[in-house]
Amino acid sequence: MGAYALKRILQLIPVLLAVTIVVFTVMKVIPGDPARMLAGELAPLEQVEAIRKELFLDKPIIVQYWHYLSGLLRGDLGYSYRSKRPVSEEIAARYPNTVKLALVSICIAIVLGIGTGILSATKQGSWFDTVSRLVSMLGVTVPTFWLGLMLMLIFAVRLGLLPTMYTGSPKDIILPAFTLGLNSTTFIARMTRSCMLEVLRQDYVRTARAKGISERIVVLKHALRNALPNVVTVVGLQMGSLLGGAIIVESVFAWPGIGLMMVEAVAFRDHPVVCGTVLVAASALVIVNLIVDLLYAVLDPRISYR
Amino acid sequence: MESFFGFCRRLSRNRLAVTGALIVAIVIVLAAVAPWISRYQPEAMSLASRLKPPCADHPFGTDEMGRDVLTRVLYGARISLSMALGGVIIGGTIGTVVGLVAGYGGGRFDSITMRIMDVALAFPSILQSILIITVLGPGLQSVVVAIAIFCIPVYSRTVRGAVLSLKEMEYVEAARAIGRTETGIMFRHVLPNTLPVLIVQTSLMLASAMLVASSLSFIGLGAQPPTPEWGAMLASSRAYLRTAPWVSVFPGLAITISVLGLNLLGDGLRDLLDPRLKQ
Amino acid sequence: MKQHIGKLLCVILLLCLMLPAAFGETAAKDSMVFVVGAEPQSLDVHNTRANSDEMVAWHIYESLVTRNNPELEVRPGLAESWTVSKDGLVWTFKLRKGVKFHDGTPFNAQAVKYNFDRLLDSKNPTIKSGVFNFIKQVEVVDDYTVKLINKFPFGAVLAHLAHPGGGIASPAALEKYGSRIGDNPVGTGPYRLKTWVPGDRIVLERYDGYSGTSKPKMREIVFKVAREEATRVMMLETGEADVATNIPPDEAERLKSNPNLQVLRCPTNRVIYIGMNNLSAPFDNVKVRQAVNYAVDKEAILEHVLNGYGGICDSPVAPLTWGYVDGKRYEYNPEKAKQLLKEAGVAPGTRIKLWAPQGRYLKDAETAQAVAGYLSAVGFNVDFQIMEWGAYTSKTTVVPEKAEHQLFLMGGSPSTADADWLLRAVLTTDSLPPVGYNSYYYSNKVVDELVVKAQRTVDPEERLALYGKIQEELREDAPWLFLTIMENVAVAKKDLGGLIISPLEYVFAYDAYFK
Repeated sequence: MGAYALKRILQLIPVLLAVTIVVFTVMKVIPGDPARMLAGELAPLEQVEAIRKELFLDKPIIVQYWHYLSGLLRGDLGYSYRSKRPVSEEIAARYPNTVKLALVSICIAIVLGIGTGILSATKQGSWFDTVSRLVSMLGVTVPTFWLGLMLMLIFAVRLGLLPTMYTGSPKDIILPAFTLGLNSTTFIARMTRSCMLEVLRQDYVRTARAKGISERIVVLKHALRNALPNVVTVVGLQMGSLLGGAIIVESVFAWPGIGLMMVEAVAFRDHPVVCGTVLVAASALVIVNLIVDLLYAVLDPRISYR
Repeated sequence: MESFFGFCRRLSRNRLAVTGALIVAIVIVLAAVAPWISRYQPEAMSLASRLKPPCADHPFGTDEMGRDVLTRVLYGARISLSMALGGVIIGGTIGTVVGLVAGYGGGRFDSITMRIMDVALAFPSILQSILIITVLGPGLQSVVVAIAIFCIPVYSRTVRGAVLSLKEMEYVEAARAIGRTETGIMFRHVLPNTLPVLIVQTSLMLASAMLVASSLSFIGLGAQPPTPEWGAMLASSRAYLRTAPWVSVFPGLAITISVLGLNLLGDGLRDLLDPRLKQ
Repeated sequence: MKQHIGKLLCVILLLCLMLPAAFGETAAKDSMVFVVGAEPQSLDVHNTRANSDEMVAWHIYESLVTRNNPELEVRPGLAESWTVSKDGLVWTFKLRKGVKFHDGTPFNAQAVKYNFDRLLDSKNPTIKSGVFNFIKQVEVVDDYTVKLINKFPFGAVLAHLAHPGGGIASPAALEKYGSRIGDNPVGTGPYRLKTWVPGDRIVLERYDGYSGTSKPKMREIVFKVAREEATRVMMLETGEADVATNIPPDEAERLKSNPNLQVLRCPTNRVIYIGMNNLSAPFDNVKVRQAVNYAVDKEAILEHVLNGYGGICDSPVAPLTWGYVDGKRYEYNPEKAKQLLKEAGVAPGTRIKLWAPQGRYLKDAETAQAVAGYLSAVGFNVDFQIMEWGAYTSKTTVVPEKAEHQLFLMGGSPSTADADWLLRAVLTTDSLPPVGYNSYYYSNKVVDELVVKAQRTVDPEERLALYGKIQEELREDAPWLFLTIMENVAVAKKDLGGLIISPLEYVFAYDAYFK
């Protein structure tokens, strides 16, 4: 398995390299002149040209990319055009918030998703199945920003229970994490339900039932155990995308993560920040996928890796 | 294979799937008959009657430009649905063909395309759409392109997965034995059998496409005013969430209900088409 | 199983209910939370790029001269008094004594020279260098006297020195921090930077050694960023924000009735207008440009789109900008517009393009949509398109041969609060792209000459008369569709006093206190 992990890690390198090439090219194709935007309102031409020179924007794209890549290989993500801070510093200031939000969201999603998934599978076809499926779908039926604003309106403004502002205290995270977690809940619940249904119909589960083993043990020990590998895959996929930043939730809840930073960087043509944040998001995603694959092996001994 | 009617009978027993199908059908009908229901033009402005609460003349009230919200929601069904459908069909077709060829043919094409899909999937999906639209300029067509590109890797992976198991089936061997060409087998025999997967995928993707469109509108990169697209309406109405809630409630409900319908339909179909889940 | 999930849910719910009690301590009343819509990127006073940067920077730095609000009259700042030579070329400033930068460096003539040398360094220009390119050199006379020698007699010297780019930073800090001065601002202002967590907050603390007359009262000002208008409003309603900027008019109207909140508003010197490509048919005909001005009901836009928050604009210069002179105003007269279009030979149904940004200026896309409606009503067939700001600026700032734009919504505000800045940069032949920002390709010899003449006139009365003539010319030529004057709207807690709302689109809290 060690060799397999190493092989997979090596495979990540070309993927990430391709990601940088794509982002870099796209940022150069996007209409809009970073030098002019950076020079500020009504800046004279000399100043625009000076900025262009300072940022190597007057060089051919290949040279610019080479410059970026050689920095990257030394672990240097470059400097933000706007703030002049190292991109790594900008990301370091925000990424912990993204991770925190992702972790809490995924926990909420796991509890709600597996919970409703199990319930609706064991009561398939009942009204309970219906209701819990509807609830678990909330996150993919209501547009995220609308859901977020509504939750904020109800819980912060009307009821005064929760804050609207990020201050670092544990209760700020509840509303954004819930808004974000509801989306993942759907996918987790869906997978849990269908895997459980499949397992519950297997012979060995019937046998177990026939032997008089209590339903709770059947569900938890046999059915859930067998459904777990697939559920873990879905959780991993969700986690991977959450770690890439939650643009809309961050915007609505003024959460200082990397998602918002990414969008603003695109809007201001801050190329190094766009490249840096995308690289971090992509790395998080592929690494989580790798971990999931390895976990899969642990959870499901039938699978072996070459 | 069971008959179409048998399938419909089973479908009719699945309460949620029926509800979903019904919702989707109603939305389509409303979109079709919009001009007969409403006597207003969806883009006709009247600043003097701005933000009027629901009343007899305007059952859903008027928006920030004095346009009738009911009319806009009805016409919006056409735009939102066709936008989602357009994107999903384009992306779905490309994705399906890529997945089919990669899965059936295997070899170098397979490994190259799947690496490309890895790269595509490594991007945060909404950022991918943002970049596409920033390059193309905001507007309905750009949203369609963004949705299409968003769909390609999803479809190609799903179809490839299905094809990998289908190509080992006996009937493929049989077709080959009677001298069918590989291309013929791929499209005539393998593709039709991926249909169940495709139908489920499409209904769920349509739902995501509508949400992606509304997210893009939130960032200001969706359909552009005065186009009555639901996502764009909802996004621009958030400024009046408190002072004129009807402007956002109705397009919001329209999206939520349609997306719910598509999701229920998709989930229901999956239950039915997946033999392992049969009751 | 069901019971377990139920129990779990109950526990989660209970936790949610208990948390507010645990964290519900009341904030000390000498610290305030100031919520803004965009995060500052740099607090290097010579490299600030946007209003959001400048607003925070103004709490930290002072400049030689300053302005009061909302009148915008020039007042002594770090300079106590000044004299100007007869030829208008040499300005001598007497500096305030006993001033120290936050890092303890004494403020003196050498510090002033150091700052201006940085601004005037043509090899490493700063963002704000362009504002000061009228200065030839700065000379130290003695420790507290400094001489500015201009390249030409210039009428708006004080207006430019009061510009945010004219802030004086500690020379020692500039040396020490180099390119990282943006994160380590050191000025002489009433507040100094305590902490800056990028993306999250900027905390300023009172500078006890502040030498100005009005001592700061608030111990700490915490700047927080919330991009969403709706979020800023909710933060005010829950009481988490003490003041929030850029509040939309509809919400301001609603919040007026909230007993805990007060609405602060003042007209700005930003004019919102529809620029016309004066080279693109049919807008190359002055009659068509005038017709467009007659065709739009600006009063209705002000009342309905902006909820009455703002004013009507009739010139590229806003009434609050120095140099504004009252004159002809295009009233709403669609009949006259149609008549003029007929005279110009514009057939009904002529296709025209109208572009607008979204979210850049207050209700920009809505305003442009309303304009599109009015233009359709007089017979144009309007292709309306909203563009993302980056693409918008680059597509409108092109050489005339490459221009695709016809009508486009813009907002213009001279950050010097003097007519010279905007007119020179956007409406003269010398400022045609790519050199300047004359995206209207408006070229009028009379205006060109008068603008240069007004720039080089020192006597205020004479200057004002020249700007009167320029505006008369521009009103008649109508290179733009003059629309509205933007308003600066902020909402604060009722017991928060001393906030300053500025026509230059800032809100300052350096004199703020809780009643």
